[in-house]
Amino acid sequence: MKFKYLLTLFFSTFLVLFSWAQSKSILVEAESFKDKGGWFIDQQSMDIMGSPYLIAHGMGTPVKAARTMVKFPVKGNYYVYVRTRNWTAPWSNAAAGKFQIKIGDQILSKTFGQDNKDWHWNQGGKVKIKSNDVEISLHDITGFNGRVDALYFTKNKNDIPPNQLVELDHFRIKKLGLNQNLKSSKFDFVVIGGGIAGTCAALSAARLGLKVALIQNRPILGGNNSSEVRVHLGARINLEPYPALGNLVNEIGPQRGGNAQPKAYYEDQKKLNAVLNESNISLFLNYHANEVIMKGNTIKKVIAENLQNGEKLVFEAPLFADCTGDGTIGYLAGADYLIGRESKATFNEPTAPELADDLTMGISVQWFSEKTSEVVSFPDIDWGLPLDDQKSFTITRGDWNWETGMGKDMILEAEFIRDYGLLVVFSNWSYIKNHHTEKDKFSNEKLQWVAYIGGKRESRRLIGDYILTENDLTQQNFLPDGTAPTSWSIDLHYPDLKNQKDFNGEAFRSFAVFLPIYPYPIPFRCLYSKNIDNLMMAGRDISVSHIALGTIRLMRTGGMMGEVIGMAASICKAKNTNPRGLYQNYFSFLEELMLKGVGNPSLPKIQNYNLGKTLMETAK
Amino acid sequence: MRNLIFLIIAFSFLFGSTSIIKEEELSFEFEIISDKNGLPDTVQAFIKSPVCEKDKCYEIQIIMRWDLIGRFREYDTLTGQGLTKLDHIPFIEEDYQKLDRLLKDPNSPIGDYKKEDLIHDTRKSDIDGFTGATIREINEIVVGGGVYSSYTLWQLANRKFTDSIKRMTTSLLDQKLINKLISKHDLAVNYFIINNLNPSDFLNYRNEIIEMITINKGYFVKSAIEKMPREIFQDSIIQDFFAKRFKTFNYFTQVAFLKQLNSISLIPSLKKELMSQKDNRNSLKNNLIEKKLF
Repeated sequence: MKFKYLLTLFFSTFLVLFSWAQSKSILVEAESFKDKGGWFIDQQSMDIMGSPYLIAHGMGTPVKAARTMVKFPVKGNYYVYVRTRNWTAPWSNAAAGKFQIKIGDQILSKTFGQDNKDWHWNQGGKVKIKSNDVEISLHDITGFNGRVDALYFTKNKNDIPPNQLVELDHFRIKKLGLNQNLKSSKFDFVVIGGGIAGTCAALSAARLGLKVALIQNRPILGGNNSSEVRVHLGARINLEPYPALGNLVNEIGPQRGGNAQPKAYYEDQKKLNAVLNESNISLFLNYHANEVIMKGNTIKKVIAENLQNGEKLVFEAPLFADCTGDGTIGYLAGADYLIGRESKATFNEPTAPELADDLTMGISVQWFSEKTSEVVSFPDIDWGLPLDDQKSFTITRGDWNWETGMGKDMILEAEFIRDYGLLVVFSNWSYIKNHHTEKDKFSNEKLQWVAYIGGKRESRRLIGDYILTENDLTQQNFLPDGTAPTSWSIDLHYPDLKNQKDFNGEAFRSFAVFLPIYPYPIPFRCLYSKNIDNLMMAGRDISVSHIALGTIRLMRTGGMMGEVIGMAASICKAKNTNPRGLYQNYFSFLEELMLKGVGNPSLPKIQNYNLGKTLMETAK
Repeated sequence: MRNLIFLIIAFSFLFGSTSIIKEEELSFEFEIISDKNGLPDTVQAFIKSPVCEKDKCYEIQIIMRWDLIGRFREYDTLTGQGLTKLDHIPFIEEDYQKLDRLLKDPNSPIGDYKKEDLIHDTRKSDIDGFTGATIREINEIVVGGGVYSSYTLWQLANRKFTDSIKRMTTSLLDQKLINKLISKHDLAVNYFIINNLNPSDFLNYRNEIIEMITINKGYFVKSAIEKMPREIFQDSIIQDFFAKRFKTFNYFTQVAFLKQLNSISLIPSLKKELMSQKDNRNSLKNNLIEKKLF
């Protein structure tokens, strides 16, 4: 009896102490660091690995340390855990992205970023906290994309944070004290995705009097056309049957063309100013929408998370637009979607493969170097791909055809695909700078820019009341609900076969096959979901076959789609209907608006670059 | 004088009277070449130009030809006056072919850039500094050692004179020339015609217009209908033609036609056709039919 009592007392004491120790633990998200130094926030894979993280994208030069102050309730010894990974582990035994952590005046002896292939809590040893307010800093060692998601300080050595994602999410909410009683903000129209399509959708609806929320999970607008990705706008605007469509793209689009050019080419501020000048738009930069609340087949609310502090905002509206590219909102809402390549029989498309497969177009990690007046070195890396003179590329700029991930899952494997893009750029550059027989030609070349946000071409395509196919395009099957005209050739990318063979089946170079088309007005029924009542789409995630995606995916076309769904939103509000109701009962109102456009028609026409080949008749 | 181009180009224009087009400080003269019937056929220009890149100069002598609506067709060199590059290195066959490909591509990416982007490294960026990336991209499509002259020749072939040549052809339009142009069955030429006919000409060329509408597809028919003066739709022959063709037109052409019928009395066959084309969905087409018939 006495023993039982003692045992109970022992366990009770243990639980109290354990609980006390846990209550003194602290979770610090890297993305919340006050001073990020040279580290960037990367949210591209947060739906998969659970959080935004900081990445040291220094292109071979260690980046400036990130710093923040942390308040410790109790001084004394803490065990440190760091959530990180070795991003080159899939390809090499050596690690590229190493970093150290300094806590107060102590540098942890462990070097991070070299242990686990997957995201994992790494033990960082024990640290003595001598004051309540302590500076923590992240010190990049290599300049090659070391990454850290979070740090955890605990009094209990066995209090290891969970690696499993659902548990980790609960752990984060509890440790960060994130508010679960969220307040809603009401809007007429919520646009998710601030690329060219989403930006135009928001501008269009706002100019037609709607109260609009625009949610973008990057610090700038523009998506693939932003200075983070640097793909120039493509395809044509101001085409029949609605020549006024595209004036909006002309307003916000950059004046100069060119992929992988200096930052100024992409005119980020111009796009931002256009949105900031619209009093009807509430802009939410650095918010990632990752949850929906449904009532039947209707989206009632979308919840978006702040990338830096985890704060969640709730957006309530009668109408939503998925301009995410990945069809994220549609996917969360249960919208039907297509992915990969459909078989020839599915839509009777001549260009489709005999059998359906998972092949998608890839992600481009573009780059360029610049000749300088001095010799510039680049690290002779030991974690790169094995290269020789034949397999390497003696070039100074990587354009769209540096493309990775063809055939991989564009959502689940996005981090791997982007990382492979980085790996091949750095491997190639290191080889031609240090080993190539013509390396002297590159001695003054400095790697100026490498994208760390991948330029994505394809993922989910949400199914609408109509699926646009190759036959519609090639047979000029114009439908009465035609809207924004797509004009770029059917432009589909495939892995370069030699490159694929040279690199164990993992191509990083691609080629394109073009099938020019006559400009074709995209049916409105491709711009709303067939099974989610109040969801429209603009951009690459609209209702098209894989083959038809080859033409509609160009950004000027996406911008015009955005212009159209912004107009549609205004009609839906005025007529108290949804997109399908608009198609059936109020389509003439949309036709009238499309004839007028919402862009400024009197501005100089500056969108004259990268128009693409076309079968279009010459109109002038 | 680094990176400056000196360009002096002379054209002679010998059809009827000489026409000189001034482009900034440069003068150009065109020559219209006639066909065997004495009708205008081709526009030709002789270009003689010293081109300097950095501190070295070379001379280009070249003849360019366009069709009557300003589309570049071909170039020729003079006997014994082949093209040369820097250091007077003669063009080889490959260079001529490359120049030919470049000049015949009106959508070439070279048109996406301004000359100053190619000449000066002025493209400073707040993060990247400046770059020669643009020049490198262009190098892939121009004749080696001749980026600026390739750029200039492409601009002359595809941009500078298109509108001027069209204006010149417009001033020469008469029935013979219109008949010749229509007989080409060239969509771009057809567009040129309907964009440059006077309203009264549409009536004079009614049969030719009907023929163009019959043989063409796409948006040409819509554009032609929009260009046609409203009076022409009062003509019962025209109405009968459209009554028979209406259902073959695409939706947008149908709407354009219906818009032209405002305050026009319709013949029974056209009324009947429009009635049969109406359905229950809300659309501009249905609204216009309803407004016209009910």
